[in-house]
Amino acid sequence: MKISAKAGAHVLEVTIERSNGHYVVEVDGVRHEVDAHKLEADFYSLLAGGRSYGCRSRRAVMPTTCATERRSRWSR
Amino acid sequence: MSAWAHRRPTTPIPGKPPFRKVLVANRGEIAVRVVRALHEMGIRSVAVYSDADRDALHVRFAHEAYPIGPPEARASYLNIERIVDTARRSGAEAIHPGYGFLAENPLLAEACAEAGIVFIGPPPSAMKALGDKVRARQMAIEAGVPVVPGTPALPADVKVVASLAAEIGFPVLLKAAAGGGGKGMRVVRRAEELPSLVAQARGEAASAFGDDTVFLEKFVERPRHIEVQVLCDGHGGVLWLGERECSIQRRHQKLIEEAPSTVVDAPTRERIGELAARAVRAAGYVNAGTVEFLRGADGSFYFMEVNARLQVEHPVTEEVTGIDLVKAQLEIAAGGRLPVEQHELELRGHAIECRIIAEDPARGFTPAPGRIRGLRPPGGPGIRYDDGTYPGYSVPVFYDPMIGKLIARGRDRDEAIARMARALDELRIDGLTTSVPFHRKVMQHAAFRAGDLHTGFLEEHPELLSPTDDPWLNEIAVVAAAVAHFRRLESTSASAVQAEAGSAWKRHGLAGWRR
Repeated sequence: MKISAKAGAHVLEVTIERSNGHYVVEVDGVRHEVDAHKLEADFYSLLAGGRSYGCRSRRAVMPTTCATERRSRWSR
Repeated sequence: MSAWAHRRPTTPIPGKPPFRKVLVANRGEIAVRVVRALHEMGIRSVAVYSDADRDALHVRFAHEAYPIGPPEARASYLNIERIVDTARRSGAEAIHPGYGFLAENPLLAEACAEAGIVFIGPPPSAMKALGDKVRARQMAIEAGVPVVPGTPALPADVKVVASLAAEIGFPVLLKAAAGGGGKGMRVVRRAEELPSLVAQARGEAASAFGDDTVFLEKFVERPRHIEVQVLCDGHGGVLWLGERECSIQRRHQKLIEEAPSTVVDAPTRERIGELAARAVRAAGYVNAGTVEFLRGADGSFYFMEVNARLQVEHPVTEEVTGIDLVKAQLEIAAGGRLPVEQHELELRGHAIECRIIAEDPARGFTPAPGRIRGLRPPGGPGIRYDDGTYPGYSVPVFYDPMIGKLIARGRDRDEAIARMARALDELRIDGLTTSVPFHRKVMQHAAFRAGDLHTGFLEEHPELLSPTDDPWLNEIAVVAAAVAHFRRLESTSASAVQAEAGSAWKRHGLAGWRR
């Protein structure tokens, strides 16, 4: 699926697809292989490139926003 | 349909509780803190709440809870008549005022005395003497406690004010006689600034405290704020419990506190402890109090004021002394003695407290109240989190935006900092902008780690207040939003997916990621 994502002042081209139980997300040509687990209603645990993140998404009428949390400083 | 309720704990500790029932005349984390101490002592707790606080945690934790009026503090938490009447009707034997609101108001202590209710705090006479900073300063001078060179209450005549300031020497600090929390306080660096700043300070003092009396002090450059915790019982006993360093402040409001200070050695600790004891003895003080000092760059200590109440930062003293200050307050108010003798006091390790505030440091610490959508308190060795919130709780706009206090204890300062940094990484408060990212940056800052502190620390290091711009985290936010949206689409019907996939994201965008 291809989407245009507005992040701050920037418009990013994002593609996302499922692959072997993971998500492959490309943001402006940069590829991320992501293991995403939904832990709460709108809270996800994301593992990307060996790094661990907690992300809460919020779906408003407009726009959709997402807050990330760095789970481990030392793993970056 | 089923209903579930749990009985509030009243696990008695050995010995007779000092009171049977106590009303907590406060809200937020300090009300929860006091209620916890009451329950540990086997005392029944009574909460009071404004209309804005019906869902607050202290209301849920207490055995009983009673409404005291509309959200505005003046009509509820500052309403002495209502609070004392509630105490009387609920059968409370004593009132604990917490900090802020009525904690330093001698009228509440007097109203309690008239109603035959014990006020858990100092006697009204001591509060009056110490609450007036001009009187307190004079009392300190008479007790031989060093004070910053300054003046008595300023007269109206601006020429006389100008000559008094010139005598002390610029820069000078304007302070409100009845004040606290930085209200009515101004630094005057040049003589020509004096008339307008005096007028501003008087106006601010009048609106904040109902008293426009101001006075001048020599402004000590690069000072440290160091304070001594004291406990006094009604039998003449005075105990000092070491110092706290509270130099990380913004607009005279403390943000990070620690015990002990990095610049106080054992002989100095004993010296300022004795000075603090002398200051409170002179006022006939009873119960918990704090004697605040300024420490100049040359190592001189100057008396500032006595806070006649429990302080926000009391946990760091509890962590290094092992003494529960709220329980000590209750025991003393019931006529008990000090928990230990001075020679028995032992200070162990190091403790740091970060105030978790619903404010945006990048925008001048503007309040950012709202609803807490997700909350994960930190834990593990040496970590304590005192708060009054829960997931789904809405932080009201009517009161102080402090929502919690994170306290880390370690064998030494390095370990306490490492634990605090780790706990700040663990702490998750979703839905609000808070001071947590700011605290993370301070814990990593070289000057803080070196203990190179003074009350102008944040002005000297403005980079601590700027928002963190981490492009990698921003990208991950986009990835997360894409995943969340993708999963939502997957959960809808195939036809709905088709329809949305083609248009929804282009229409709505993925705007405004936040951290």
